[in-house]
Amino acid sequence: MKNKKLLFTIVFLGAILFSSSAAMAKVQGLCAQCHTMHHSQSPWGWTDGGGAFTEWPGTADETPLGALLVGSGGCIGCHTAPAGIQNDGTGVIPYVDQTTLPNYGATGTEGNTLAGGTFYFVRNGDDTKGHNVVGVAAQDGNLALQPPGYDSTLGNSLGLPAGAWTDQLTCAGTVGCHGDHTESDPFGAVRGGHHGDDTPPLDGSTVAKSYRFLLGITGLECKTDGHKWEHQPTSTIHNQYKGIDRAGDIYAGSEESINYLCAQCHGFFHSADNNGGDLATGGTAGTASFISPWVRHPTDFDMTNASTGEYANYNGAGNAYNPIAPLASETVDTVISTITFGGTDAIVSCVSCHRAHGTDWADLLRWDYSTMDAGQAVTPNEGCFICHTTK
Amino acid sequence: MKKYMVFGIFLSLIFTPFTAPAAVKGKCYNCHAMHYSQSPFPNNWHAGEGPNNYLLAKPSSGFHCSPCVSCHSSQTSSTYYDLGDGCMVPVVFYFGASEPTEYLAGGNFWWVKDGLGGDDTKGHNVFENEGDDYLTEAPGGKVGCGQTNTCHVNLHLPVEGMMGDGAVLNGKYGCEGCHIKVRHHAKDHPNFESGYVSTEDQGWYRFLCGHVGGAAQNFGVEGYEDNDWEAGHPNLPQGTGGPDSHNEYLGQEFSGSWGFSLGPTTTAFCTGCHGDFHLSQKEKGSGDAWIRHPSDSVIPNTGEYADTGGPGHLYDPLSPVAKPTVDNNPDSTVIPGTDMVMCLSCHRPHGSPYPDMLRWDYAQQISGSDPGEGTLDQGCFYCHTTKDN
Repeated sequence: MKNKKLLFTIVFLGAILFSSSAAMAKVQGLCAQCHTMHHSQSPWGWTDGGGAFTEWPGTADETPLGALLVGSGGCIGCHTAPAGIQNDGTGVIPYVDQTTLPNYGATGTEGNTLAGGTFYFVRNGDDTKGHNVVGVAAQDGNLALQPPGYDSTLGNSLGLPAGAWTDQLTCAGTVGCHGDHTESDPFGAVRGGHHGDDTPPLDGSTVAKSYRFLLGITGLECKTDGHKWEHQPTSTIHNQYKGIDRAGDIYAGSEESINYLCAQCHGFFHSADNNGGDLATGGTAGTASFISPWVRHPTDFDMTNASTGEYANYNGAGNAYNPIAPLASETVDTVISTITFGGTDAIVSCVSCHRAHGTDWADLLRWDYSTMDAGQAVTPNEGCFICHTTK
Repeated sequence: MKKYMVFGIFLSLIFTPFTAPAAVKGKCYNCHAMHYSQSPFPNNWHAGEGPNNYLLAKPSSGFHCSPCVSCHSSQTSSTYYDLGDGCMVPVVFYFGASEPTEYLAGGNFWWVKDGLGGDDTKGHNVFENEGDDYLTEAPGGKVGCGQTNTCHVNLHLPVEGMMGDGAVLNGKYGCEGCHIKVRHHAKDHPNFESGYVSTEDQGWYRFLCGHVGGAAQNFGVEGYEDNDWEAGHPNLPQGTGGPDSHNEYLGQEFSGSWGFSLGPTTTAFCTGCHGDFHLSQKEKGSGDAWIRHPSDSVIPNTGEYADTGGPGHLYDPLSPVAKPTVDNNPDSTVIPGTDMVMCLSCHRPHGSPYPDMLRWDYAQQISGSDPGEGTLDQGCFYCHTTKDN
């Protein structure tokens, strides 16, 4: 009897202690923080349960927004930190732009920006440092509207232009990244996402059940309090990106991968299915070799298959996952803390080097490419050299 | 034989149930003074505060104000009281020192009254010269009569400058800004009994109608009037139905207009002053994107709204819905796909304890609060059933 009681206690405590702490990340907080019923409130703002009043952005005179949202500027209105406020990994709103200069730091992992980076720098005039999204910045002064590497055959099959782009990128929708691309209105594109059930595993079936509302893309979202949205990630606390261990540079089979999301606009940087794309020397889709010598940096490629051994020394001894240069994996039901090079957890990806919203470095890179010096006596374990360990 | 037939008819006339059509009842002198010069002056009237329109006397138990407020106010009851001879009077202005803990369907003006609640966000500003500190005119307004201080603009100052048929509105403000044709003796149903009201002869639902002069003059609100004005708010139980259970409101789904062209509904009535809140509910040209909260719009029978009222779809007087048809037998349930959200689903027109005259505290509506299985969904979450999960 005593043993049974002990057993029960252990099981009971175990259930409590080791229950999944992956609390649903559907929005939480006062409805009044985001929504106004008639867009006529006077005074313009919301009062919390303690009686404290906070002004909303914009004014009641402005045109009401879809979904009864407060603020102005569309999505970015809510997702921009007010003056003096920065991400701290504990809030209920991820800030992808800031009114006050954020601390990106050298790699975006030690300051107050999130996994996707920040629009702050592109909004403040450097088109090389972020995606030029409507409401954030004017169209790119160097590239105009056309995404580099755009595969119009793939893109048009997904509802994007068959030729030259005529619309600027939006946060969500047909010419956006987030949400349903069959919806032209950004608010309509993410409908069902913010209040939807996003309990893992994410299967990409709906906006809510997709990684970061990127419809169709899977992955594991970092929700740990203090590190939400990968605020100051570590090797054990981070997003887990979905990747595909491809045998050739083709699109098929990679539709859940974070890299496929990027490929929808930058297809030739991902696959050679259609004229114009190629990652490795030796031809086009299906027959192309998918091994060095590369003509474009590989994506959705597992480094276990690399022709040289330097990548097996990823991040030095022990191969701990490094959030500065993250690797994707085919399995995304848990956070991978150590890269095993078993063939499915060392997948180099677009996000291994870039942050989609923006960074403090050119080409939206996670680190400063201009400081990457090859041929040093001892290769530092930073930036490019986290993977290219002998260069 | 003939004698027996006549006697039979006579008996049937005696024993046939007869419902008196008049609303108020009791001694005429409970409310009316012919010359306001009684001597000695009755101690149940305010001395020196007359004569008044319609020969009305002001009860001394009431607040010193307009005849409407004098009668419909109390320092001891926040729901209703017996004026005399069993004539029950609904109290819409409680003027005790502390806020009322129960009130009627329309709420109570305590919270907006200067010197009491004193919060202009919590009620319509109907007291003379007590304007809104935040608003210069009715928000979302759509129509005006083109004259000074029309009720479409504010309720705290008397109307001026109306001509022709509209001249009868001059001097009116406050209660009479909404309750335009007050007919206490209308032929609807006896005092303190329920009944369905649908015509001008019956005084319209709660005396809410279009005003004299103009296109709206022949129109008014239809609905089922609960006998005790839904006394007991905010704690009335869900799921009660049948006669004397609750008001029942009419709704008609119609977009692109305002006023009584929307139908004889309370929402139509509200648009007389807050038209844009209904007319501009959806973003033009984008299909079905809501930019303001829907009103007189069918609650979808899909997604989270399919669970409005919980598994039993219980009608909740705290979050009432509008019905496409109303009769003398109010429903105990709400029917997603048929019933409609309306202005009164969320607001109390007289006043409430909460900003924006809401029926609940919007500042306590917390998305994602996960209240747990079996918790009664109320407030916003009565309809938005999964957003608190």
